[in-house]
Amino acid sequence: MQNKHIDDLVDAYVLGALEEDEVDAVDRHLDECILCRELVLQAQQSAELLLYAAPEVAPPPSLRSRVLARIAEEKATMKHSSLPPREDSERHRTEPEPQIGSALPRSPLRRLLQALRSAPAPAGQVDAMLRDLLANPQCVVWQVTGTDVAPGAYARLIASPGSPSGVLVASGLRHPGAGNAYQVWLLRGGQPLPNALFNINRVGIGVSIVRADEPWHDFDTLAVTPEPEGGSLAPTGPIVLVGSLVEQAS
Amino acid sequence: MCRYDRREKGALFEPTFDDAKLVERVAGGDEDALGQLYDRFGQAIYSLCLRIVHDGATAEELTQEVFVRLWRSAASFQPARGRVSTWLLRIAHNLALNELRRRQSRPVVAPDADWEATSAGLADTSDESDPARAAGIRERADAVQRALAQLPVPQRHAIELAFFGGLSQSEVAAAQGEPLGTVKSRIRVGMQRLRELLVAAGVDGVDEVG
Repeated sequence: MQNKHIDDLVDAYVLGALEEDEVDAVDRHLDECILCRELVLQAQQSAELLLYAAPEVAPPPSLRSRVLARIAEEKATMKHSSLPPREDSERHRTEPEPQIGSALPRSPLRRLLQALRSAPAPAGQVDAMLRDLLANPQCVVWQVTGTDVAPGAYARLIASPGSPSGVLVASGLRHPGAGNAYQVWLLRGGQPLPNALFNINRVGIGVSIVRADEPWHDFDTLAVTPEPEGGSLAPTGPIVLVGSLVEQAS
Repeated sequence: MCRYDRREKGALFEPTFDDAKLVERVAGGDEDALGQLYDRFGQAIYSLCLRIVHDGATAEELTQEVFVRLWRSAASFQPARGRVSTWLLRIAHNLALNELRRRQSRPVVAPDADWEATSAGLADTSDESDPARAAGIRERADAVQRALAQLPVPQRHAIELAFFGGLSQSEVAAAQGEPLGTVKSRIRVGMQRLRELLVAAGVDGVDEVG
């Protein structure tokens, strides 16, 4: 399969109609064959148009208000669970400060900023946040490394102990697959909690804002998995990046 | 669907810029913007879910879930990668197929005249003030449905069973009572013909979105 073009399988591939072993074989071939990759991209275009092919049926008029009520609940939950500002938080005032991030080396910093500039993420927002973080003497950096599934991948999580938001800059990732995005998980006591979604650019770089609803040191691990677009409540894909939040980057 | 994706091409109808702006507002916590996106795409999302799960109550739940996911992950949307409508419909497609697999009951009956008769006339698509029409999604849907309807029935059914039923080619062959080779050929030839029809209808353009 790896040396044989797959034009006769392309349409079934983009429709999701191949058997699992066929999908694996096609994926391996596509890793090496630009011609077939182009065929897949063209076929994908037609397949995605089928998303529009369902006969239109009007939903019950009440569905709109139920959707908006659900969103109002979500909004209330998010407000309730988000961290209060640092100066208002007794818990944060009494926590010992993690080591300050003056150890952030110059060359990794430069690489991070270069990665950010070439990344497809909500760059304005991330850019501002990263600038603030790096200007903060308490900024800390955690290393996140690729697993056997993604041996060339690595990432850094940059955060400040007083802020519930940090920035994850990941490199060397493969495309997560059509209809998928990468999802960040923060693990507490071994329990993965869903966090931000991100996509990567053409050279495998992705940037994401990660939010912690508890102090960072309450979490022991950060992991990244490919998940269906829109995200999952529990991981369904293999872990591609994993890093301890206990130890900081040196 | 598959590991390899692309930047979406070919926008004939949709004012994607406005849609992307709405998603940006949703990312900022604007519920009114989400309501506007519901007005534009809620019916298409519900219709797709209903087409896959064949159950109104489940389709309603899935539609709600799509908008909850939009609310949570609006910041991750990248206009350069395609239309808002395609993004939302892809989420709906994934959720609905997952629901089908969870139930382990797949609609192995042929996609059928019954369905078309059931759904015919339920949606009024003539209202020019309709937000979905204003967003261009109706024209796009009409063009794709017309192209699909021009395929020979066995080819169309094979494609629909795979795409809306989540069936593999072997399962389609079992559902249609045909040899696997016949089904493979139907899907390949059918998709090729569909591409030609979509190009002829002007739906399959070449301009990058965003």
